[in-house]
Amino acid sequence: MKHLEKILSFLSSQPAWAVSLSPAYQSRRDWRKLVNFYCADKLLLVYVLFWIYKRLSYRVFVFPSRSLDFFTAQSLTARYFLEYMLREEIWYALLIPTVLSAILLWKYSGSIVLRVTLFVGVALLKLPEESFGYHGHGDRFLMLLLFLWIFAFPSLKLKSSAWRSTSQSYDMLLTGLLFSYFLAGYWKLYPMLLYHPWNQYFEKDGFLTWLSVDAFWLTSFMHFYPADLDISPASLAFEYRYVFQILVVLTILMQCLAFIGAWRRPLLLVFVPVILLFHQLSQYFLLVNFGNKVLLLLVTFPYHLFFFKKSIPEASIKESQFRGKYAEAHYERKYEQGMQDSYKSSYAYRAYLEDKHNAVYILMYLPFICSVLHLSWKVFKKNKATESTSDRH
Amino acid sequence: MPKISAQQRFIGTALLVLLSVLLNLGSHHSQKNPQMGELYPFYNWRLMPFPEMDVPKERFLLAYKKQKNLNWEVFSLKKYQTQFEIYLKKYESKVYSAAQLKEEISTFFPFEVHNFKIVREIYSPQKIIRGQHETSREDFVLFE
Repeated sequence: MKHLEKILSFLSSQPAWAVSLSPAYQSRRDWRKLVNFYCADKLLLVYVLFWIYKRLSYRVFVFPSRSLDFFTAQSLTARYFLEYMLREEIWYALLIPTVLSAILLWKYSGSIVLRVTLFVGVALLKLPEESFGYHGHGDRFLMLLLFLWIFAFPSLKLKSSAWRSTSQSYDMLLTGLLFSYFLAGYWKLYPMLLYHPWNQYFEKDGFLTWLSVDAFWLTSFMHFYPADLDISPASLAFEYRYVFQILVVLTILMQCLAFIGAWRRPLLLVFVPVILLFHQLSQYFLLVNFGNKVLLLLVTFPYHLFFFKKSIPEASIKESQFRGKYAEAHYERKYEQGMQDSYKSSYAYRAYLEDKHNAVYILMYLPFICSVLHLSWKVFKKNKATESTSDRH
Repeated sequence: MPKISAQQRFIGTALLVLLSVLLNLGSHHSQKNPQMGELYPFYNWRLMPFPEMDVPKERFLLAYKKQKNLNWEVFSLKKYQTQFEIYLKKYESKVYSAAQLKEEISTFFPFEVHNFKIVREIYSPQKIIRGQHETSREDFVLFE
């Protein structure tokens, strides 16, 4: 467990040598996360019911008009279950336990059996639609979320000793969710640096990468043109192609970093709106519809700012003090209960800025920023000391 | 049923995260052509997520014709020969027979489908700006 603690402190950018947190701070932080987890869970269940309603309306109004000739087993699961899932009575029979499990989870939120039922039910209800060959981006997001949520137990009645692990479960769950963005970014690294799919049918001199200025508008064009749709979004992308060149690179980098936000929540203040904007833009310019994107907002929203405010454990700050400079900087936060938080070096600056509500602190949560600042101050100080010694000689 | 502690739930969630990552990596790894455009010429038109595409057969034929008229010129079919054959096999019994499909292609391209190459670029930025996406066959130089 010691190793795990070390990994978690690295992930949350709170190394033991620089950051010492009081139990008061920790319990407040864990309780806030628990409240967020609790609210996200309840809203997720509401969302699932809404999603089931959409599937039901599809089954009633759209499904009968589709020709069964075009069903294709898209996966191993589909191959085994498709035959059964196409039968109406089986589909409706499955609908009942899925809806029931979503409702019962309101009361029995710790039940693993109910959560597994919900996940499997949702996956199977979607199966006939998927087996028309169209795999939606959006519903995979919901399924991934329900899959990761199996062990979740966000209850406000938990003992304080369980707050820590439960809030860490929430962090871990968001890591899994946001890691899907990391993988999306990771798979773009190769085309970003070396290759772009366009190369295979656009035989021009040289090659195209995602770093190229032509990459985005050509991709956009290729989504509209063959479908014989109005290509004005692609034209717009061409007009502002230099802006899009930068946006594409930044998006790929941000996708790669997104999962860090699960452990450094301030980063999500930037990442979540940017990811949502990215989804909107890709819908407009690339016709990529990421259906359940609202779920991202739903599970990462800071509900503690609005709900259960009075229940947050008391820890009033008596005084805070910032002293020293650069690597010698020290920031302390003292509580009336006699406890204190202390931060050193760049971490002291970050905590100080955070308490002053200066948005720069968010940037300091980016990976390695604090470590690099600390090391460079150390090196600078060492060089200066060497220079002054040699001057004296 | 034994009660599960919060810590065990955390470990369980961590394992699920690990499993989801491995599955994702595995599914990507199992694809022979991970590039999204690799199968482009035979993009599943009938399965496009637009509601109007939901009537499969007729729509597919229509979309297929559109696709052919607009885009086949830009592809060097040599690259897609294998995929083309897979495609034929897959839809042989459903939509077109292989012979029908070949015949239709040959009426459009009056030569052997696998032996031509495009030598001229057609998508110039100027064309895009002017919105001239209705290309005509005279734009291209094709040879066997």
